[in-house]
Order: sequence, then C-alpha cells, then structure tokens
Amino acid sequence: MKKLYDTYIKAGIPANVVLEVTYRCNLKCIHCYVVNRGENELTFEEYSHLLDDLNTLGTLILTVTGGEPLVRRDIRDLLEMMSEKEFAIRLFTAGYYIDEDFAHFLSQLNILEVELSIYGSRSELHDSITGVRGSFDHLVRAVKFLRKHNIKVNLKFIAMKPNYRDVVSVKELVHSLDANFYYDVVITPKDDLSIDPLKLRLDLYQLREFYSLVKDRPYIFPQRDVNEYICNAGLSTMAISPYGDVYPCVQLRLLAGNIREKSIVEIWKKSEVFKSLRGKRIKDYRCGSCPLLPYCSPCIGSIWLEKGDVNGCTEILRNRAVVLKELADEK
Amino acid sequence: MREEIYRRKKGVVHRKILDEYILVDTREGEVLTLNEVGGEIWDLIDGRRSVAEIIRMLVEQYEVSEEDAEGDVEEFLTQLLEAGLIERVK
Ligand code: SF4
Repeated sequence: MKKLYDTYIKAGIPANVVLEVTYRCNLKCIHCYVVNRGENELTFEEYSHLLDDLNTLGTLILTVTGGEPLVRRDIRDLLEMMSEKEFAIRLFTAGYYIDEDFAHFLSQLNILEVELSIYGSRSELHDSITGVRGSFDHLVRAVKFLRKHNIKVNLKFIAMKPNYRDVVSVKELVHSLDANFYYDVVITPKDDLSIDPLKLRLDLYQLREFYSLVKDRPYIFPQRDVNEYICNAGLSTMAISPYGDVYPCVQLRLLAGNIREKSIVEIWKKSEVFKSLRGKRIKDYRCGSCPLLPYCSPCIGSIWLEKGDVNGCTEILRNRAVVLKELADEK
Repeated sequence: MREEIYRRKKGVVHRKILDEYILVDTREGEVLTLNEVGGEIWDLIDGRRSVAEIIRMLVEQYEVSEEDAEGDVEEFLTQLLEAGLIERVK
C-alpha cells in the first residue's frame, strides 16, 4: 500500500478519500471526538456526483465512516454504488447493525476491510465506554458474521484510563475471533475543541504499564527522513464531512471548501489549505528538530486540535515517544 | 489458448495513474502495478474478446510480430490467472 500512496502523491491525486457519511450514532462513547451539528447530510444524488468526480480524479479507495455509517437509511444503496463505480471500500463501524444478512451483502461488494473498535474483553467494560448495553455482544456477533463471509476485520483497541489494563485479554479475544489486532493511545479533543475527552488519556506511568503489557510492539515507526512529507493529509488523502465540507483529514479540520459550492476537483487542486500542506516537509515543523522523532509518529491533526496550530506537540505524542525510546534503549 | 475467453474477477478495481495501472484486489488486500501495455491488455480482458482478438489488437497497435504478441499475452494471462485476478469464461 505504501507504494500506491507514493505513486498517488507523485501524481498529485487523492488515493484514499474519507467519507464521513453521517455524524449520527447509536452509541455514546465517552472519548468520541465527533460533534453532530444536525445539518442536512449529503443525499444519495450528491454522493453520486461526488463519486463520479473522484473517479475522474483517479481516487481508488473510499473510507466510509461516521458517526455510525450504518444508521443512514440509504447505506446499502451508497455502498453498492461505490462498488459499482469501481472503488475499493474500507468501512469503519461499531458493528451494532451488522447481522448475517448485512455481512453477506458486504461480501458481494469491493470491501477491502471492516474496522471496528473494541474497548474491553467483557461486556461490562466495553459497554461502560460505549454507554450502550449490549454493544459488546453486537460487536462480537458482527465480527463472527464478517469473518464467516471472509471479510477482513481489523479490531482496534483504544487504550484509556478505564480500560488499558485489559489489553492482554482484548488481544486474546481478537485473535480468537480471527481478526487483526490494533491499538491506539491517542485521544484527541472533540471537533468543537472541547478538551473533555483528554482526561481519559494515559499519563506517562500508565503508558509505560500499557506498553509493558502489550509487550510486542506492533507499532515500530518507520525511519523518517526530515525531507519527507509529515503525513498524507492533503497529499494523497482528504476527508469530506456529511455536510460536504472538505478537510485534509478527520482531525485536521482546516476547511478547504464545500462540495455544494465547488467541485471536489477544483477544491483538491486549488484550495490554499491543501497547497500549504503540500509545500511543507517534516523539517518545516517542530518535529523536524525533535530528538524523539525516530520514536514518534507525529499527527499534525491531533496537534492542531489540541494546540490550534500544526506546528507544535502534545503531551500524549511526546509521552508515547518517550516510552518507545525507553523500550528501544532497553533492547 | 487462442480461442479462450477471460474476464476480470469481481472485487478487483483499477485506475490508470501516470503511466501505470494500479490494481487492488479487494478480496486479498493486494496491490499490483502494471505497465502501460499490461494495463491495455487488462482493459481488453472483458469476458467477450477471445485471446486471439486481444493478440490481434496488440499487433495492430504496437506493430509487433504475431508470434511475439502471442507469447507475451499468453505469459501475461497465465500470471494473472495464477494471481487469481482473472477467470476463464470459455
Ligand atoms: S514528540 Fe512531538 S515534536 Fe517530537 S516528533 Fe513527536 S509530535 Fe513531533
């Protein structure tokens, strides 16, 4: 996949476009960054035009996310259309609405993978994070149906204060379900910049404990050259909100335009937001002179959300890099 | 092989980017790149044209000998078959 993104960056084309098809959701996760503004969501027809434009641009992958994408009444039609227009689809969902029939439906489409979040190995813990009883059972059921239909499943564990110690059991459960295990420790402010979710983040001591529990490091960051781009946002990827707003990514909410006013082709090619990202390399950010860079995967979106500027750093990114450096030095 | 007909498998999507054809096999999660000629053959594998027709079209377009085109096309189709990207319909 890296080669694919490199070719697209060279060509100046978005390989992967993130479509947030709704901000509505049936869960109430305590760490969620999404804010539902309740505006008019893009219609099926608007998506149809958008997909044609993206096809013209050369986009190959669509990442469909939310909110919970499956609460859209027309979600089947939308996914079917994406497949018919020859896109590869990544679907992010909580899995609550995936039954046998829906898993079978997905297996007929160009689905690359389905990604779901898991917050604990037991229903009490998982449900206490999602705020909805039964969400754990629905999640496990969804994963079983998806695997039965041979769909690749990624389960991502979001480590927070209330659940991080459960990581070993979660990993075992994920493997027993024949899914891929991932984790993340980066919790960000909400899209309205509220910092409420940050209190859930692991502190330095908890991060040390977490990484000692995870043991193997699935996350070995590739060596970075400071002349490279810092990330793919605005270079080979962008995000489009349910209201048509276009951003470099779902965290870096710098408005590049709205597809109800201008075509996505024009926004992608001409927006100042994208041009400015394309003009910068790692060395132009604070990360470029940071000694922790070899142990870090900087995320300018999360930095921007928290600090209001892409040129900075956050406590969680720095602490994670400190812990990973300690682990590397131990070896 | 000349009378056989092949089609691209369901779940394989592609785009032409710069001079390359990028193929993604969504079922296997694999990415492949083809050069321009490979990409054109890929486009011709449509479940209707026979291998002989594909060879003829390449001979016309690239001014290569029928023999060379036949060897290249058959080798290429065999590779695609082995990679599970195409299937035989006739
Ligand atoms: S620790 Fe902060 S400044 Fe250093 S590389 Fe990571 S994000 Fe950048």
